[in-house]
Amino acid sequence: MKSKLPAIICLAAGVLLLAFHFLPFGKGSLNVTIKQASYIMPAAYKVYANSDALNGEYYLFKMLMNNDGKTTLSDVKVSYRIPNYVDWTDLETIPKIYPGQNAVVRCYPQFKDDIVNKMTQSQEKVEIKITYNGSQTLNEDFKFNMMGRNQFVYTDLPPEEIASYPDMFRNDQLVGCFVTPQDPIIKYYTQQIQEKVMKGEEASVSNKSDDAVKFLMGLYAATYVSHMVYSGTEGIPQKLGDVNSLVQSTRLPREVVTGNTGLCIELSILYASVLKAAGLHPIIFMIPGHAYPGILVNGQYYAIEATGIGGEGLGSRASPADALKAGMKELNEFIQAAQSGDNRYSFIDIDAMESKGVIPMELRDDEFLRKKIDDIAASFSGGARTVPRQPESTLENNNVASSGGGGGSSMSGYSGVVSFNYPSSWKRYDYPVAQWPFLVAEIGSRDGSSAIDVIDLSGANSSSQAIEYIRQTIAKAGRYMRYQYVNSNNGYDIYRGTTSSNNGTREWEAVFRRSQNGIVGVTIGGSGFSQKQNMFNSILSTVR
Amino acid sequence: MKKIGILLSIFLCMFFLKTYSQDLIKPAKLNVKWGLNTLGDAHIETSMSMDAAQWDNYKKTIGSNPDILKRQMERTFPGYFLQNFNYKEDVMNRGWTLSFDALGLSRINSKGLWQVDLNSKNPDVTKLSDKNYVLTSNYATGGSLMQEIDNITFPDGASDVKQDKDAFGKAMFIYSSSPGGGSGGWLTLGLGALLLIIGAIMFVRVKPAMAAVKK
Repeated sequence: MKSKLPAIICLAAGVLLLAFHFLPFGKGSLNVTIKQASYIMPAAYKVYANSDALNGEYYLFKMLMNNDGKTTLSDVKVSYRIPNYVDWTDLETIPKIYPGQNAVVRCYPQFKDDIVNKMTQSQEKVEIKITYNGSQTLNEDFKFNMMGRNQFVYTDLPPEEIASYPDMFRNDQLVGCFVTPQDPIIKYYTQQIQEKVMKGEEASVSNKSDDAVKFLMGLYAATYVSHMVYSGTEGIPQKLGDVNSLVQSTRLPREVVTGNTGLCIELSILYASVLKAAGLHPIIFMIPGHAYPGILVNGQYYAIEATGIGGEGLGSRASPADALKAGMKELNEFIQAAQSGDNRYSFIDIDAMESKGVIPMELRDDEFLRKKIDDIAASFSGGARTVPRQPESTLENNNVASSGGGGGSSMSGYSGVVSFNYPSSWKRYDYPVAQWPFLVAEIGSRDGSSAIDVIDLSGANSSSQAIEYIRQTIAKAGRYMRYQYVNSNNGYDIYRGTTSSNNGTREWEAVFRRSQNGIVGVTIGGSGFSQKQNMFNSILSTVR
Repeated sequence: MKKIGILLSIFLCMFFLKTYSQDLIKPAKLNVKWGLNTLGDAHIETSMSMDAAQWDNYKKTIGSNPDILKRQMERTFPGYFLQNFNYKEDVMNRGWTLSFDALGLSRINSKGLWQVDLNSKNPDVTKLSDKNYVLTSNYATGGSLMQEIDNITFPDGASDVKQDKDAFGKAMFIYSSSPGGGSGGWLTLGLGALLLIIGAIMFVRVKPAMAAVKK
């Protein structure tokens, strides 16, 4: 037996070491770091719930778990709750965390729809429970601010991180959560406008700019005849955890309609809601200290000054035509400022934000509010007719940034980076293609067979560089351009060419000259170029 | 892996308007190197070179306050914990490099395999070796053309690297890897096995010897 002893000792030691290797002996140790949101805005609860929304940057918390022990942790289960809001919910179970390994768990809380009934701010607690190795438990908790449903916090950056104007308004991308086209009350309001103010409309079906602008004016007219007024709401700076921000009390669109009053951002949100409910593509333009609504149709932006309704107490009220004129003027200023790189000028494309997960809150139907809409809608039929029968004429005039002397009764003048005269029956669109900022304006005949394009290409060193840039840019949109340099005359470089697309091939002639910032010029052409060459030449002869 | 490009689109938007006549002709190039270690953490190195006009505008915006890059990266990777940021400029070549560590980039899924989420559908992936893959993407951003090249290197111990999709069709890499396992590591495993073998041999040899003594 004695002689067997060394062998038995070796075998026992070997078994022990192998067991020590494979079985979870030793002490597991979990080190936890939590990064939390300072506040939750109930209006954005669908963004917080979606890990894909806005790249997942709006989480309640994320937690780093580091195994700083010497043994592998198994079945690490993380659950959390927010008393009164979210019951115990399992977030994730991680099968193993090896010694030294880091594992990250993210929490995108699923609040119930009734969170939008929360009216005031409160401090709430998140409780986190981590269980691992079958029986070991670790508990963590933290507090955060639960805002009221109307409260909009403008930024989530701590003061020391704020470096620019956009940083102060970082949460502008959540404004879309307040845009509620599916709200039964807003749908009902939209239907009332379509029926009683517009007497029928087809803007979303026809996809014509004129119809869309007509709807924009009709919406303004609805607020005008119902004597909606401009008024302020509470906006106070608050310290929310690490964040210092202006907290704005923002009335929901249904509250603006039934209360018959709104601030610029609230009116913009109302417009966006109604426009979207009507099938249009709403935009909210944000500028320092102000916001105004608009639409994007056929690649062109239109805007209206919604606060033109003013109010008797404020001294003046703008007609729908004047509100559109003011909006278009602001839009021109907006484009110029944005082009010059002023990052205080931005816009919110509601459809684009929706595709990124910015989904509005759920709101329920309310009989009382419907009756309020009925009362408001009664003023629609009794009010003065404010929607123009021929909005295109208004639009055409309003869209002109500045008119030159013109060329008699049959000619209008363009004055901008270049100046020239053109037939007054032609329609002018400023910045017709948002993606092509170099295309300052397009003026076209009503039958679409002829057009003048005004070009301003800042940064270009020569006309050849400018035209090559244009060629490459429009090629991305399926328009293929061929051109040839003709000659230079009086400081202008003259080119001729053709542009082909699915719609056919068009001939054109272009003149370019140097400006302070780059190259400016015009192109003119269309189908049946040779028959219209005299007219084109006469227009080109007026280019200055 | 296209998320970095989204980040860069923010930069390009900021200086696009002043440089569009140049950057369309030559796309901006972004290189991103992802180096995964055996514990699932990643060392990420992003680098970008620009033409003169782009560089000029970059220096006037982000370049004057490069910590904005750190914040943008944290927003680009909200799901991870980032640390050890390091920013370098190569002014003579108009370029910058930002490196950092992303903790917990790769995680162990319910099947016990390591998983790296790519956050994009149908990426253009080229296999360079069993542990090295390249993702190439070209896209327009801010009116400009961006070419992004993501180079992913899996850890030395990784095997069976495969592409897969999650329930939403998003691409991911799956692989096997063991960072060492139990409490004593490979030493206890090797020593234990050695002692078992020695003990077994001794046990087997002792029996005939005792039989001979009895005779």
